[in-house]
Amino acid sequence: MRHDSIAATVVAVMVGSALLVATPGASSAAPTRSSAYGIAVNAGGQEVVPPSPSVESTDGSTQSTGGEIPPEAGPLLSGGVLELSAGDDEARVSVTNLTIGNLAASLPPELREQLDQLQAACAGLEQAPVEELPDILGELPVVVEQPTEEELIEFCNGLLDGDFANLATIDTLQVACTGDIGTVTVLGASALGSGAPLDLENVEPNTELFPDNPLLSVTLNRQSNGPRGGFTVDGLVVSLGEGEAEAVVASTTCGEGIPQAAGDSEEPTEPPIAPAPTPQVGSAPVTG
Amino acid sequence: MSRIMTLISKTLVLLVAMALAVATVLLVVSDSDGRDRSTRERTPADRQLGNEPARAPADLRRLVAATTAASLPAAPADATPQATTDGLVVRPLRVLPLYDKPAGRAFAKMPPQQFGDTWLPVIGQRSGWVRVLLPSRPNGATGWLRESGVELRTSPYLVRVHLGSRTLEINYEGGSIGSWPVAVGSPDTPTPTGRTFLLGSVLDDAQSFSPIILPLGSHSDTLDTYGGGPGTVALHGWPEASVFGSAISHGCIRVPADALDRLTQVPLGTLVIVDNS
Repeated sequence: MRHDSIAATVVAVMVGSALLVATPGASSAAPTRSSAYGIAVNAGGQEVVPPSPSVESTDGSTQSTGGEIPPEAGPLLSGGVLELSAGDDEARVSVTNLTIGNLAASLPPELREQLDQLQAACAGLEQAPVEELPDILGELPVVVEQPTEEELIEFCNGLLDGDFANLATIDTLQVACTGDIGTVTVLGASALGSGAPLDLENVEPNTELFPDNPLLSVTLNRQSNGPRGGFTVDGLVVSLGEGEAEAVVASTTCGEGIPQAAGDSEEPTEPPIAPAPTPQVGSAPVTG
Repeated sequence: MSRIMTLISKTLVLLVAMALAVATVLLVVSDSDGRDRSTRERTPADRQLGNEPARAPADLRRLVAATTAASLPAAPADATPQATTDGLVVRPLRVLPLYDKPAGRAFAKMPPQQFGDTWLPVIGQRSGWVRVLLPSRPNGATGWLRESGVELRTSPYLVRVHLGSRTLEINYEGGSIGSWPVAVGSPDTPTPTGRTFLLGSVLDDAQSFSPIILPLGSHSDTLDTYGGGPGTVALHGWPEASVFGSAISHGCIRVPADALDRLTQVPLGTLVIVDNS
């Protein structure tokens, strides 16, 4: 199923390590619901992969569960041991040992062409004039820590030998919220068998990796406030176009309001109050 | 060597992005039986839910960003420029296409940040869509955004500017919390009427007349540019109290310090209605 491949491939974007600290959001008064889930994929208004595994707490007690990435998210995705917990205005999810599946079986022609280009760059690493290498992406909106020369050579050797079977691996992905504070940590990620994983550090909340890409958006540390005041931190979100399809990996929500009585018809809830603005230092030439 | 490392790093990221793009496209165009979703006959439920026929994703690279510096003649005009709203404001979570109608033609894109986070007032809603005021020329420009791409909040505030009495009034949850004499545009450079919104809150050391500048979404109708900017109208302070109550500015609304203090607490996206009363 292609549904499976997107769910699996989503995780491959996490090719580095990042520590992301959330900005304050809103939380609502008790009783509140806290929750966490591992992966969810929606497309065409339908849940292709419902949030799973998942856990929630509605009375402040700590609820925990574990599991693996659901088979619907396979077969490209394997491993992925999950630990989830939700408690008193806090929730966390940890994913370890994620592996993105067989590269040869899944590589589309467009990707193969890019891989060939990358291999060519590696083959000419010692003598290729820098000017001949294309600047494909322009400046990335995140800080990318450069690998050392030794790491790069190791990566290139693996790439040229074809000595890799996985698109990406991730040792640990952790997402947590406590009240209106959230953290996202991605550790030990590598791609294409690279020995030189990219490090992404000090990434701001709601960071988009490809802000002008017409086809998809990739957002790290997406933060949002739900209609019931819940504060949600999504570790990684991949969306197609204007939202026709969206995949979320590792999500936590804290402080979500609970309807008072089960069975009552839920009244429309007004979105929470917008925040007072934080002044920005900059230039604002106006008519005076 | 570091340059080569950078390029290879970028290429690696691109590889992963392309894998996502290809897989996601296949996910959307095919359902679990492999049928083409775009050719599926629409059901009454689809129409009720606002599930419009699939369109090709808007090419954001070709669209103009709807900032205060942009002019968007294709934007649909605000049909009720003196009407209030229920206070709903939205923040784009990413760069979003702006459409001339729900599932219509994309004519611009809305960046999630310009003067800090972008917040826009909602002046209309349909299932899955919100219609917002824009910060670009011409005055009264509007556009539609997919609701799935925005965060929704509510502003309890409403700001009114009365050009005739040269006063500014701040309302909170429907009641007035203060009214102040202000300076408005001169007859040659009038403050434009209609509804606009608080676009930003800026500490601009390049000027000395106000501790803070609050740009609005509107622009001077008589000045294409001013002070190096695109003629953006703003709320701001003024060092000489004698101007308050006068029609003397180049379009901006100069307010007393007390009013400015209150205005700095008003959420971005809050509606500002300018009338001739």
